[in-house]
Amino acid sequence: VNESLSPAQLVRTVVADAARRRQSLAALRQVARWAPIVAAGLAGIALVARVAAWPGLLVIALLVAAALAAGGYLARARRHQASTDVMAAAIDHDAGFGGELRSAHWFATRQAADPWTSFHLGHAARRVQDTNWATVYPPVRATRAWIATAALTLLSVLIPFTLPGRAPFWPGALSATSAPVLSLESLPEELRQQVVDAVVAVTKGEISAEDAVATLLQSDAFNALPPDAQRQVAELLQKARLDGSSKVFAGATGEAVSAEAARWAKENLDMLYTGKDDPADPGDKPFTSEKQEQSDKRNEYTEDGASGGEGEASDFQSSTRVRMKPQGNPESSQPMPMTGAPDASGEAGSSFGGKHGDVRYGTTKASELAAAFRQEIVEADMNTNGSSRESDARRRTEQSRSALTYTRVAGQVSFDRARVDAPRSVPEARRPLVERYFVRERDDR
Amino acid sequence: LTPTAVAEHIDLFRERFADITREVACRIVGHDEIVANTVTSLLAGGHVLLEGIPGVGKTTLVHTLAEVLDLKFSRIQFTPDLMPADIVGTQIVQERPHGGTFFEFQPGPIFANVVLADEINRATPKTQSALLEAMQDISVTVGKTTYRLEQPFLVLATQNPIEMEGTYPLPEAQLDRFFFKLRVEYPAEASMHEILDRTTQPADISVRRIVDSSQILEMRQIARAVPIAKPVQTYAIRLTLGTHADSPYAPPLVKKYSRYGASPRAAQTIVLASKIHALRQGHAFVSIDDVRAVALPALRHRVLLNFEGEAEQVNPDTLVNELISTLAS
Repeated sequence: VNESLSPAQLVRTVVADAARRRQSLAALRQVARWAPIVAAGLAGIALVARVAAWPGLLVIALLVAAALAAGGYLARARRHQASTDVMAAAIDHDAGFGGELRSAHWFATRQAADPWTSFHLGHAARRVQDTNWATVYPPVRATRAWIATAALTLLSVLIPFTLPGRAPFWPGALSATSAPVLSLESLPEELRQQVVDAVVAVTKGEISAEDAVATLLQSDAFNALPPDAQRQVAELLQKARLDGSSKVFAGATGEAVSAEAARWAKENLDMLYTGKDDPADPGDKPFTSEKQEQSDKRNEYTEDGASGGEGEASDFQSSTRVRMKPQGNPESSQPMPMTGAPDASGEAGSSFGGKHGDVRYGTTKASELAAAFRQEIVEADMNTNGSSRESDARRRTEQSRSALTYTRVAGQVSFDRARVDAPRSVPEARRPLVERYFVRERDDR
Repeated sequence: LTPTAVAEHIDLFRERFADITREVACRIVGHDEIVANTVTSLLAGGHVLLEGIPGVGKTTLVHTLAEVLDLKFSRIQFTPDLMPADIVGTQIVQERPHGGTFFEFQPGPIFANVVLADEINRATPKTQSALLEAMQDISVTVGKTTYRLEQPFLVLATQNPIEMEGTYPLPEAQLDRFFFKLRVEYPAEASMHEILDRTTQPADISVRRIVDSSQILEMRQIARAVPIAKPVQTYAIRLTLGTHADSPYAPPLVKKYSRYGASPRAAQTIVLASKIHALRQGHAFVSIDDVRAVALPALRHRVLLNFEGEAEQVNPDTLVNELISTLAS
């Protein structure tokens, strides 16, 4: 403290300095309190960003923003401010001046020549000079908080670089480094059909994804694909296996197939509900009569006890008893009736195959339709006579998509033999009657 | 006056105050704060209303104080038939040695430095009001003549809080003229031993004179010279305003039970008493703590309860303490 200052100036200076020190320490205490929490939050965000494929730069940006906010807060607390009575009162309380510093500060800001005031200011100035302000406002000791903050900050920075995940570090890295998304249209004609069939087969659970990939690997067209494309096909098959739904196929193989399947599904649904065939296809037989006929045949077949494992295939065929799109001409709008191929059935003339596995309907993209129908037509077929809650629940249960779960199970009922009353004994007088009633004499006649 | 002289004044005041209270404490046991507040009131030029049950030493305190201060003391026992003239004095006819008569003023017991108005609430309001002019203006008017009372002038009134039959509660205007209202509590067991030891021995305990009237007046001047910062004065003002139910500084309890709060005279009382309290600590400044220390005796008799407060027998001390504890400094 400058000795040349008057008592009034000294009091004002000391109050201003102490106020700055007090505020900066309070701010530092707040930062030390919140820094580990914010750092932990950033580490969590970094983890989530890594899993959720957010750009890793986001965490760095948040880290910088938090550091800037803390620095700004501390700088704001340390800036020089005009001392006020409130500050003086707080410092007076902290230093245990008993109100003298606050009173002296107020008189120091006034021009007073009163001897009492001068004495008061001089006494207060001597006290503030003798005060060890480092003990009044000791430095903030938050070693654990700083260590925790540093560790968590380091973790936040390292997670985007080290932890294996899906998110690239830079936002634009995804398009720059990853392989192009597989497009079904870009595949050769032959390979496209193979892939579609494999997906349908895997979706239906007929073969495993690994077997499907192994089958595809025998194809020269598949081997000619780039490694990224091969990997994507393998992932597609894995997803199809896990999901068990051709929605995976429809979603993964691009908009074209999905839209095409949806359009065909809609047209066939219309046919199912209207009971009429496509007027643009006069060669077709009426759908309802044919369906009824085939349904009757199927029922007979089932009653004969020979259906066995063919139920699924039969159901599938009956549900896909609709028009087919000719193969090899995807752009053509000429529909054709779908009929069971002779080799598709295990029984001659039944037209409800499935026993021999692969289902092909003529030369059309049966697998594409199968995927689309599994998505759209199955439900319509099962609710031909109108939708109901019971059938919907049953269907969901059969497809393992039911949301119903058992929340509790009744405890096992125990039987306490000791609490059972013994049957009353039969009176002696009635015993012959009882015996005669229950014991039948042998009739040897 | 130099700062060194100020320091000497402070030390002088502090020593004399301590001597007075110490000497009074030789005879009065267990009432140090009562003694200190009574001396504070004397040094501030105020009057004290002592409230307590009979036998706790109220009258003895006043007697002792008069002895220690070497002041002229008089006692007025207030009774229902006491007349104002019995207090202030009256004109009586005197005969001249050479013939003829004339009226001569015979001063009443009010003409003293320390007046003990014992059981003041037993006299009629008319008689009680005879004290009003004396307490406020330090003068009495008899007929057309006004007589100045000798300084220092201190009225110490006592009243009994338990025997209310046949009493006349002091009007608000008269209550406000008392600087402090002090409650003389029943002494503790340890103090009782000390009282018995001192009062049941053959010889009375004698007290010595500490200060005279001129020294008391000098102490009054010193007390008034203590500077008080505006924020502290603001706090005293807000304490006074906070006793009013419609004040923004009033706590909920005051808003609920207070009918009328303290007058500006209460703020004067608080500031003056705070200065004396600060000098007692050896300070040349007034702090918030000084204000808080004197707020209760200065405000408790100035807070008038409303009907609800009277019905629920709310103690005004509760309201004042609530105000002191809640008002931000």
